[in-house]
Amino acid sequence: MNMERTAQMTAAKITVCQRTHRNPLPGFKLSLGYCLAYLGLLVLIPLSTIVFETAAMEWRDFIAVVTAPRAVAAYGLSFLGALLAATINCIFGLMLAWVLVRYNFFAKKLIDAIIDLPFAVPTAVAGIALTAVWGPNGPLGEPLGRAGILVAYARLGVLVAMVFVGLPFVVRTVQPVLEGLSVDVEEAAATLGAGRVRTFFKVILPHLAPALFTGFALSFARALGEYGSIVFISGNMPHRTEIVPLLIMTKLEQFDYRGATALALVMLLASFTVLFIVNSVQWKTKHRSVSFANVLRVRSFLKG
Amino acid sequence: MKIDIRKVSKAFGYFPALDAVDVTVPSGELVALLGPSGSGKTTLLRVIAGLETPETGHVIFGETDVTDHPVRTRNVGFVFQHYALFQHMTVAQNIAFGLRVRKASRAETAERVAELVSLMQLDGLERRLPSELSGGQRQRVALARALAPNPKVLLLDEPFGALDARVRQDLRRWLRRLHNDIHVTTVFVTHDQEEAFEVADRVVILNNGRVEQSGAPDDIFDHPANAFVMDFVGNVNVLDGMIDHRGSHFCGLTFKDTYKADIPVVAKAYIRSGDIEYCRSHDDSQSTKGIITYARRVGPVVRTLFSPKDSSDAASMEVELSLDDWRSKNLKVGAEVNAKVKRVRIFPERGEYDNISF
Repeated sequence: MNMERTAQMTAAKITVCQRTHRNPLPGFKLSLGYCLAYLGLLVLIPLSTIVFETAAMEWRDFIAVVTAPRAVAAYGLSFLGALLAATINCIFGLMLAWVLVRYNFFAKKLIDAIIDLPFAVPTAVAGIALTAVWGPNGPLGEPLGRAGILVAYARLGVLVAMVFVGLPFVVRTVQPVLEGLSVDVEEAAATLGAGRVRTFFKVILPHLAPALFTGFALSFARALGEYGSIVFISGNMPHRTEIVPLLIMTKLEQFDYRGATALALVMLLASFTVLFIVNSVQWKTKHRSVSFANVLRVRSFLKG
Repeated sequence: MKIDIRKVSKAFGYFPALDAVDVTVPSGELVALLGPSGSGKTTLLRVIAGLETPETGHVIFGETDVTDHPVRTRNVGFVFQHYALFQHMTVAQNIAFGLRVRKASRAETAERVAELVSLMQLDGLERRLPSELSGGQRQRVALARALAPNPKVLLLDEPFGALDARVRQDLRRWLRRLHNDIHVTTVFVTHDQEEAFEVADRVVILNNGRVEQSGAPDDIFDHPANAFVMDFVGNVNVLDGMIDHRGSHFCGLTFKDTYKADIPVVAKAYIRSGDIEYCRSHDDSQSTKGIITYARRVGPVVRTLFSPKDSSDAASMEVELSLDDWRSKNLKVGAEVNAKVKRVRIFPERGEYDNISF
């Protein structure tokens, strides 16, 4: 009898719980399961084959492949190039987003659409176009060449292609955040006596920082993975202008599948690390003002 | 610091936002700019702050012409309608912003911040972010931030517009008390006449970029300069009618002992809803027979609609009376009563006649 009542009460409690937790859209378990299965099929399983394939290698062989001077030079070019390209894109992407959000001018819609072109154009087309412009006979490449600056078939060309493909990411992540930042805030800073430089660095930039970090990460990842446009403009000289994806491709063409996956694994781990760092920095900026360290900072600041 | 606005004009495209406006704000006073939306009141406030540049005219602070001074050197405190707080800074950092810009020492800054936090009753919230505050608290932070660098002039743009009625009421009284304590020359913009009349020392009424009237609240309420002010200030019934040789006639109401005209003139009568009284007996010509068609009690007052019987058109008048009055006279919807007009203001097509009380 008593047990029966307890059971009834528990049942009642459970129904109450279910009622209070009812969501307007049902199916959390179903949708989560679907997401995980999808992610597994499309991303995790294919990528895990890289790990398995490499695991079949001897450790000594693996080290020899991934530390070969040609591979190290390629890592350097790929990662430094991608980091530099993402940085450049952050600066100029922010400016572009600023102009598009804050001003009204003729053909603004057109310019807004042009920004997405690097998304849409096949990368080989982009590569041919960039080579035509920056090449030794191109309208920009020729005068620069006379001045002693080689763009196409040099490292600079790799950077140009990386900047090109990564540009839309920064613009498209910063734009909506900038639209949400009202002019009031800048005017408030001005009435408090702040000049333009201070208003930009102390008021606007902190607000945009999380979006900028996201744009940076996306642009970086895109530049690192870019293949099509770079092979046209870089000249593909081993040790000098050869990027990692191309080196992998070369190994595949020589039927060296193990060597190719070994390099791929290094790329995978390195890019995961960089994205992880960028994301944690972004998380910190978002939560900076409520973090414990900041509480302490404010307290000491208030105490003078 | 006295503010003088002389013949200021400003247009946005073809839309004249301000049309040769003259306003004087005496030093240490609290002045309300009151007007419907699009009247130019916010533009005028922004011109004073330096956020807008007038096309013609001058803005003078004290003895200095600041028309060409940029915003940041004017030393004004500006409070925005939607607070415009720095979202990534804590309450204390927001308040300290203006002081840091002025390179105040750390000790000085901390002292001033603490002072404002207690003045604005923000104790314990110093480390919160704006997103963690209620609307009323955000507005107080915005006010503290504006006041921190000791501005010569405090400007508020619809400061309580985005808050709910109760908080608005509290903050309104609190602003009045605050002004009594710190005495900084203050201009605030509002479209809420109740707010303007409750808080301000002087009210400036704007319409279509022009000043319709300015003066003490009582003065404006008792002696409105024109039909617009009369209509805008308080709940007014506007009746169409005419003035002829026997008097003036509006919807069954005849005011014999007022104005007469040999040639009939079209006119409008403005009667405040509180200036009409219900009575059971028909005593004189200033009252008219009719039916109460609607009644709604709102707290201590009853708002009713009265339909005059003799009126040719289906005009009805708003009448407001106290609950006690309503009960003691035993009135109800559908009752046949007399409405007696206690006070009326008549505006003929051209010219106007002053207040008439009975």
